[in-house]
Amino acid sequence: MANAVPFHKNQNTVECCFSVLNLKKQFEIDLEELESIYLTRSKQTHPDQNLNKSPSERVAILQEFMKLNEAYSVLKAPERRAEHLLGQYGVFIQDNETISPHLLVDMLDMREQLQEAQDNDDHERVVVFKNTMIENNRQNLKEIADLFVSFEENDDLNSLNMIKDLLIKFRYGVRYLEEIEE
Amino acid sequence: MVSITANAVEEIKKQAKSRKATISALRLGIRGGGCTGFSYLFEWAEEKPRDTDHVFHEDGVSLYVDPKSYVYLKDTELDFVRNMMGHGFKFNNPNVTGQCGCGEAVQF
Amino acid sequence: MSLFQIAEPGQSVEKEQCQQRRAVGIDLGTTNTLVAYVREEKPVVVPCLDDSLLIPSVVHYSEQGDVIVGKSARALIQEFPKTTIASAKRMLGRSKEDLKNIMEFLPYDMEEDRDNSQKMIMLNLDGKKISPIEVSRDIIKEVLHGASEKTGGVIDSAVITVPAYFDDGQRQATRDAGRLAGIDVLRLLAEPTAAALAYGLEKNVTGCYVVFDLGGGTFDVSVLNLVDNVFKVCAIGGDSSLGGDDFDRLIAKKMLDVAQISLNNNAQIVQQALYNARLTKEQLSIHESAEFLLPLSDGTVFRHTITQQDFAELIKPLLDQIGVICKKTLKDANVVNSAIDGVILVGGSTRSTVVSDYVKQFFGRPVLSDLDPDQVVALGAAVQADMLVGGTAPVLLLDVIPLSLGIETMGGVFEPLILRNSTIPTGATNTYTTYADNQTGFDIHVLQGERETAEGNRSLARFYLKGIPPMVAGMARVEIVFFVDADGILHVTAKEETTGIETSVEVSTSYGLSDEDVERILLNSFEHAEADMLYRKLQTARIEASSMIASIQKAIIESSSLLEGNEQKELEQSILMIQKAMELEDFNAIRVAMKELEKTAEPFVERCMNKAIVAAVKGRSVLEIEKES
Repeated sequence: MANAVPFHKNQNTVECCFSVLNLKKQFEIDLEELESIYLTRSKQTHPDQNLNKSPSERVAILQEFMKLNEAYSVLKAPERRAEHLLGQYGVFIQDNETISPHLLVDMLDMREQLQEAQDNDDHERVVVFKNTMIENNRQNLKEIADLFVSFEENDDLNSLNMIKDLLIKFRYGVRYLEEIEE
Repeated sequence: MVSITANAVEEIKKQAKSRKATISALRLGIRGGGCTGFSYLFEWAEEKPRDTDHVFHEDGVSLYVDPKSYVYLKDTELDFVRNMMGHGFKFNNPNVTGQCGCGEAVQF
Repeated sequence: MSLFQIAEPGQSVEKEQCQQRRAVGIDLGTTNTLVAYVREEKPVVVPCLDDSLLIPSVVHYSEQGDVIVGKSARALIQEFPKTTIASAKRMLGRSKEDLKNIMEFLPYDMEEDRDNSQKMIMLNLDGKKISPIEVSRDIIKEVLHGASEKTGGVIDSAVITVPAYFDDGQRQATRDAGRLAGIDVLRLLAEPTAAALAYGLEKNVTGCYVVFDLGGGTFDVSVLNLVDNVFKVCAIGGDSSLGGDDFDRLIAKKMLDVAQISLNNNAQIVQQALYNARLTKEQLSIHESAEFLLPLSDGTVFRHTITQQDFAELIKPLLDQIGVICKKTLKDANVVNSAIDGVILVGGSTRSTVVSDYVKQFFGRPVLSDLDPDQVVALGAAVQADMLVGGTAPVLLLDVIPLSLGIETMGGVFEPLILRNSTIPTGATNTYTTYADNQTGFDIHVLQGERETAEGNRSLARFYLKGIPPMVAGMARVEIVFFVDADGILHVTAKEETTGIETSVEVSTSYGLSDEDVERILLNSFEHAEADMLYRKLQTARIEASSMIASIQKAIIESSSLLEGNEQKELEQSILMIQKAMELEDFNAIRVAMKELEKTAEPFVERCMNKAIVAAVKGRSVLEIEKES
């Protein structure tokens, strides 16, 4: 049985989600504004609101609606927004991205401790780990936000690379929390 | 069966004459469509009825009705009237239970 | 009154002056089905021929080839357990394996259709095979027939509701049932969204709402934002095989255990136990305790008292499951309890005090149940049907898919292309390539679910894309496009870029009908349409008449003391009239005679009902009270 191997297209061709929603291209966004623009545009482009148009018009409108949805879900989630913005600046996280060895060691340590606590049914400790990780994630996001501001002011590529590292760390954190839930 | 009133027969013959057709035959039917139900099909017929048609004669006038439509049209009387709204053919069909606002479509 | 002119041959004009088509909303429930439509700007449920609003989703297939739907069919469950189908919705888009937990309660002969799709269930009714999709079709046909008669119109299109958590196979099966019934399925609408629509319009609620929908066979929980005429679903969760029926099964099983009766080879007593379990459960919605009764084969009656507390303990594992699902859904929606403005209760099972208490305690927020939980879904569907046909949409519904969709990649990994809770319609495209030199084809396996491995998820379709020109590994470019329409149904096309070869995939034939199957079944039914219509009108009338006569006769025997004056004679006269009409095969005459009997019997029936209510309150049967008086 021959199965498929994913092939990732040149990511430069991804459209800027901020422009789709008419928002300024920066990490900090007003979530309420995002919501309001999304709802207004949805009312204009949803297929059910355009039943009286010609078939070719409806196909075009549907494409617009789907694009709107995609842009909205990317911008709403901070980590997706960060990754997207990095991409717009030419920095991409590859599939087999190598992470710094000391981050890897940290993660493995935390995993082991979690495993131990779970094996011993030590719920209190698990909760402590969970809360620590939640806090870590929050910190990471805040740092990412600050770094973007710095980049926007100083145009330094270094900030972008640091953001990339933090994002990878954040993803591991999310995965870690998911494992606790299971 | 589908019956035709004397008035209707007279009018059909008259119209057939001015149409200069050799056959005074009409096709009656029921079609899906219209606002909430069916509409009547009411037109001059082609030469001969189809094998599956129900055929009715009245004084030289023939009616052809296809089997599917006949289910809804049997016991219908075709009449011709002149009244305040004008003049035209009328279907007196006991199977009809209601009509929509425009009067064009019927329900069974 | 319309006057016609004779048209030239072939020129009879299709009068299209009326733009309105009659479109309805159908709530095709596990236990009951309802039809509703918008009349004078308000949605209203259409009563069926006997004036009740709920039609039991039960179909009986007689030896003579009659198809009986609704109350009359339900009355035949005890006598004909194998040919009276009561849980079709549970079997839509499912395999036998999916049903293993409730198998001991399903008395039907089931096999899997090995010819066409691999795993679709086929019910064996004394030799004749039928799929759950066709059973659902028969329910839809019957309820639309009744609705047509009541509203004086022919219904050609409908919005059919589905549990939000129904997966692709279950949705396709529902849509196919509608198509086979001969209507245009305008939309498959998620039940919680339909309920929110009804509440939003009727009660003008705005804000963040949770819809808690516990029906007979399915559970959905949906978090919505209702604001500024947009109803946006944030997240949904649920279990398409968890409902009030499972409570019945728990009670029945427990009682049969206590009575020391095995579930094997006791089809009739098991069905009776299930039925009585439901009655007991319903009693517990109003009373602190209820008595479960079960007539045994030796003539005695098994009795056991169940309190609300007992019931709560019995169903605790299911309530816990429900709690886990609610928690996950709130998390997906990124919403905490305090942000919720209210919880809307939907579905007959939310009438249970134990359930509504649980909901209040879990969310700690105001609970809304002023719209009838049995009707609210149909009403919402009617509103949407009206919008889709009328072309005006005062309200925008933004719904989501419940489960991620993706394909299997090298190593058995599941790669999602569309994530759960994505707003629909939506699409995604991914590009794939070959892993071996000169590989000329791909096996594409489409799946739905949240697990990391392909094996852990639900298989929707497998197809082999061939014709890739032989190349070095990694050179081919195959684009796979996923599109989920507004019904939540997936369409897949695959395109090999160097050759431009495109294939569209038929998704979900594993558990349902292929397009060919649907065509074939439809053609078969058209051939018999006319004969069917008249025959059916007559048969329906006869069956309802027989049923009516039987129940009146039974009442005359059991409650003879309640008859006054000449009533018995008058009733017998009326019954005779019906029987005469039945002999003449005149369905109009039968209907007229039935109305007569109804009128004549009214006072007597009322007296019987009063007595039954008294008996129920005292926890005894009518027969017992009869003996006393």
